Amino acid sequence: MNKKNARFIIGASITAILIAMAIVSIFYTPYDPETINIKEKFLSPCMAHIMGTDNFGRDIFSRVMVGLKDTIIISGLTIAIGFATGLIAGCFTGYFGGAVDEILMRINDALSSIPSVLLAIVMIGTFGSGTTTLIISLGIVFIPSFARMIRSDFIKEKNREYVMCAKLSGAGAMRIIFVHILPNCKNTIISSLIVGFNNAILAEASLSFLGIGVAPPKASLGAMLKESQMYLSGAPWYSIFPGITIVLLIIGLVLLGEGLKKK
Amino acid sequence: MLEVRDLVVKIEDREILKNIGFSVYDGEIVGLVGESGSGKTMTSLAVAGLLSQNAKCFGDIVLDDIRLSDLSIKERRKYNGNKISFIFQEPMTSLNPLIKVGKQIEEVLKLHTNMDKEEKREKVLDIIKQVELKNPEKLYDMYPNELSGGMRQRVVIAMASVLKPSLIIADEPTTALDADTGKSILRLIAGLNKSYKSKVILISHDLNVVREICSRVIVMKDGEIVEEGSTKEIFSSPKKEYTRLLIEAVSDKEKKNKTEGGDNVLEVSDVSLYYKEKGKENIIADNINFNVKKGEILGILGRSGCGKSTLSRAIAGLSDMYHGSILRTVSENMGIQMVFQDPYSSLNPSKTIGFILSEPLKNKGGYTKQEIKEKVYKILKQVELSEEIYDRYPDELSGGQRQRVSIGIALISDPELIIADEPVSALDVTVQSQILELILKLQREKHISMIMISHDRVVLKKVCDRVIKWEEITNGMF
Repeated sequence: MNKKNARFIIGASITAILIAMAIVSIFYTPYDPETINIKEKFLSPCMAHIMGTDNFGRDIFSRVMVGLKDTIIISGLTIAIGFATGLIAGCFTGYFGGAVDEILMRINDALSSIPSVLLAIVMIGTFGSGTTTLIISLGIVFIPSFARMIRSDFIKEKNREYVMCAKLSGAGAMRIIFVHILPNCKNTIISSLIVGFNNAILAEASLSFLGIGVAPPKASLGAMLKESQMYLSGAPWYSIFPGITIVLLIIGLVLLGEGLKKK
Repeated sequence: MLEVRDLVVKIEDREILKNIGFSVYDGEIVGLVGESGSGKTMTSLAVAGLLSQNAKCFGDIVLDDIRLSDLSIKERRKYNGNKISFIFQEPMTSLNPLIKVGKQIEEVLKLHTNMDKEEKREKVLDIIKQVELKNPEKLYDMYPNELSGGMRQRVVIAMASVLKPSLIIADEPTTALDADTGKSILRLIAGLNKSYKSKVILISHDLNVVREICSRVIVMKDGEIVEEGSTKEIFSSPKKEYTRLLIEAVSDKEKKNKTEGGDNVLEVSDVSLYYKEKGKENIIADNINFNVKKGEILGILGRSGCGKSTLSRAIAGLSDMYHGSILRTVSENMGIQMVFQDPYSSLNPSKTIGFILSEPLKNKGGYTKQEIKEKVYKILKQVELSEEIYDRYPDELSGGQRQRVSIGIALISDPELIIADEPVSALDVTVQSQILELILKLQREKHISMIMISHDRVVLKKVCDRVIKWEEITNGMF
């Protein structure tokens, strides 16, 4: 119990600090994240630039703040699309079963048999790059995993006696699905949301790293990693700080999720 | 002999067992009785040295002049199976489904003796004969799932007694079996005990089981011994109130003032139940014929797995896996309600009791919020629960309270027929009798008709106006 509490507190604090940084970046950053200042390029971390500067003399700390914001927004929206669609598909297929279940689950299988990053690349290639396409294509990629998790929970729950009790109480199918069963899937939903969010962060970072995510000069943590790889030996801080931020964000969320589970 | 003195077991500073002391002599069968949570299983685990690691055990346990309590866990293990053996409740899970019966019995010999292959086989065949199983040669090569529950329990007994251990602990050995099989298993244990002169501790929540074969009885409650004495003394003149309650709960009392019942509210004719497997219909039971009269409580007695629950679901309209006719002369809208066996799964864990109880009224419609609340409070009063429970969640209630809530849900929509599927079998005996009292009270006050399904003849006799056996109303396959 104590271990769980510790996880929760550490996870919640890391996540809260990072989210606060992202929110602050909307109103204030120490330097303008996109202004080029050639005179100050490749400064190592110092008092004026605590994370140093990059190849254009831009303040890395400011760019990490803004990048963090973009990463969180993109992953959040991605998960929102994937979760909402997956939730509904999972509820209905799990509860009703039958032919609809068979068809939707086979589509699901097909979707998940294609590597997610590849699928996103194909979609971006087809519909053109841009943040919106990125969000939508990643969102679609995330539908199957949510649908599957919730479906299996529903299959387990729908045969419990309290559902029969609800049927005898005259509740309709919609009411049973959303009012009676869904709240009991809380644990699955929380943990799959957090795992999904982490995967979305990583997917966004890898797509930006591959150069098809957020376009320069805008910052995202993945895009910064991509730009920095050419200067790894000369200016290691350029890649280290965005990298650490991604790792921290994910560790924070994982701990938070572990702490929330089964409470 | 086995002697236990000042046995205290603590888990995280909570005393689970308090100063337990008793002894068992050679050739004796001692019954350990109590409700769930009374510490009877904990006591037996402490004696066998099988407590979980976070449990601390104090006191003396001496078996045949060996001070078991002074030995390390590793040293004690070599006595398990050899000097002490266990018979568990569920023969389904205590046998490995992937290993042939003969091999499983042989395993005990392999671990504790140096017999060669032929000797072992002979010994196994011999013990299979001793536990009164037919065709030892054939049985040797069978898998546990090919055997019935009673046969499996005999195999478990064979495993437990093949080395003629000094102490056999039987933990609820008959609870998972139907009455007749249970009786024969008890007779077998008593017979083996007589011929081997071993000591047996028989753990049970059911005093009738204990009465059958035990010479002495120890009654436990909340980790303490309440009363100890010879079986005769305990049953004829119990000293403690608690013991008296336990005895009363299992005594064979028939209901007084039986209700005659009016017109039929339910007519079941030529119904056959089936379940679907890969599109094929498998019949569970067919030719079911019976009826329920208005105002009566009808008991249906049947062993587990016979199809009772499937039938109750079909009658309630929850399942259409049947052929034949079920004629209900009750209103379509919530005219039939059910009370389920397990109050832990029949209440939605994420809703408050108030929400759960008001659900039928909300769905029925036509009530204001205030009316619903008033009705819920009225029902809570009828099932003898306090109003505070309204805002609680199911996991904050005891088993008995939950079952009262379940009955409340069934009552709140004013049904004409209630089907209760094993409504008390998941409850402790003392709680059982309170729930049965409640059912009788509700019958007197509300004149509802009810079908009560159970495997327990004693329970049915206490509340039912008419009891029919499953075999009488069906051509069952079981």
